[in-house]
Amino acid sequence: MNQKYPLFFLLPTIIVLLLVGIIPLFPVLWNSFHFYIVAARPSPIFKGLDNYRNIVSNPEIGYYFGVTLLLTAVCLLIQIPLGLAIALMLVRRFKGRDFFQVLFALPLGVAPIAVGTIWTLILRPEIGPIPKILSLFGINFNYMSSFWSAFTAIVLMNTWRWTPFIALALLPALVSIPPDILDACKVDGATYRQVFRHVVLPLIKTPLLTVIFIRFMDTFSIFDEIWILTGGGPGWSTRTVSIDIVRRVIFETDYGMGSALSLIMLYITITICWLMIAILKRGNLVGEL
Amino acid sequence: MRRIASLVMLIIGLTILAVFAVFPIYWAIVCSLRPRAEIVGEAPLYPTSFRIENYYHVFVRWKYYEYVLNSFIVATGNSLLVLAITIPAAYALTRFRLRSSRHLLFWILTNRMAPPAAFLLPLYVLTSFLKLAGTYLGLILAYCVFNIPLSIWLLVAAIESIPKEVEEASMLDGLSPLGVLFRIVLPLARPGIVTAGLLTWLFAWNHYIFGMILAGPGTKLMTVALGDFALTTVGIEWEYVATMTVGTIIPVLIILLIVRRALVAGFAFGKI
Repeated sequence: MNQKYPLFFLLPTIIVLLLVGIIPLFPVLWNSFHFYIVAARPSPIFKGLDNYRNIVSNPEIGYYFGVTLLLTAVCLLIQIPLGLAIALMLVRRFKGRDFFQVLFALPLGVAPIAVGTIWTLILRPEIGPIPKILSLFGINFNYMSSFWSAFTAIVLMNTWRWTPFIALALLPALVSIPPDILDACKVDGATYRQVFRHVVLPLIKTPLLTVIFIRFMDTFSIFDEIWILTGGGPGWSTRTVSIDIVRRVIFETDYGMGSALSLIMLYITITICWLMIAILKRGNLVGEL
Repeated sequence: MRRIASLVMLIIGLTILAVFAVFPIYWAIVCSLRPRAEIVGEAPLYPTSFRIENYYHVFVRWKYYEYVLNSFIVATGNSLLVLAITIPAAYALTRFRLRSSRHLLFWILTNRMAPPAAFLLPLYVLTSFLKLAGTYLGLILAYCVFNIPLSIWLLVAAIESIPKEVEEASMLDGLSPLGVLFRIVLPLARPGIVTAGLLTWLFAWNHYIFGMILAGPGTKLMTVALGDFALTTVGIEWEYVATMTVGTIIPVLIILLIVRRALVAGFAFGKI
């Protein structure tokens, strides 16, 4: 086969990916070694590794990473079991199963920015049904009154948006488990929990790990919904790393720190992807990569 | 008997969860059709008003349709560009065993996983350097960062499912690889290509963060307009927040029903 063709076919994609994904990282790398706040001083001053040192030692930035990781952990701990439970409920064939699948797919289509506005409409004390219902029981719920209430609101919103994805992503793997295996387990007298733990779970390991990685990265980079719902508040208590980057870049025009933070986020991304491939490969779970 | 009882329990459980899934969208629609007094007052959970004027007010009088149009142009442009360059690329990745394809796929994976916020400044630097800041083209290029990986992922799966023998037979008949791509692969992979096109369109349409800085006054996107409005008019014009929200999600819900089967793969490898 002529070897020129594959290159010729791949070239446009590689050029565009280089243009938008790699080339602009070089000026950003250069920026990250400079004090560069456009609003304060239009020309950058070389500061070496100062920005990186600042990121490591600044407790505020440490807090943003901490909140982001806490949010990611809580969301995964709630959503993965719940999504798996929904998937298990949808495995059984019955009339109307398709209908339920359509209903569960609906939240997936909502733009993250609209997720934020929708949950604002639900949670704002003066207009939202949830605070109104809670007030019937004498509970005064304002999600912006403290960190934990804002955090709970964010987790609730994120769970609404993403649990269906987990359920629908795990469903094909669950459906493809041959019923004979499960029947054989029942004949052998295994309990439901034993079957799940020793038969079902190993069989869906690859999709489950993939979904966990995807959800980890997406929650780690969360921005739009929180930006609308809490704006990082009350105070700056729910400010995630992404919100911090956007705030620095757009509102403070701090390109030096913004660049350093962006590159650190990209570096974390590459490490996690590498880890994911390594884990999936060790279990002989992927052949492609 | 036990089977029926467990089925009833199952359906009750699923119904409760489905109500949780659907209620927020339902609530946005209900609010978008209410007068303001009713939203702030003690309005019940069921629909009470049908004020279609809210939509007229936002879309026509406030010219929200201009932002919708901008989003449409950018999403469509991006989707077409991505398809044009990734169809041959996906074909090359599936049908020719390349030593470098492993690295390319890893690179594509990291692009998929990268936080959009981390690409904000790089893309701003790029578009200002190319003098594309505030233009449609700048935005169309920016969304390639996430939509190229998505499209390649979906198209590789679609092309892999075509039997190789068809292509080999037509190559023996004297078709060039380019001819095979256009005459054989393109028609056979059409459902997959349509899905990839619709999903890339959907992700560009839904995207917010790049528009905050890359869109100019004349190219302001619908998501950015919605975000600005929701953030600056807090506590005042809730019915219009709801109206804009519903306007944003309706086209997406329609696409969602068309590509439902491929949707999950799209969300696994597309960017929110």
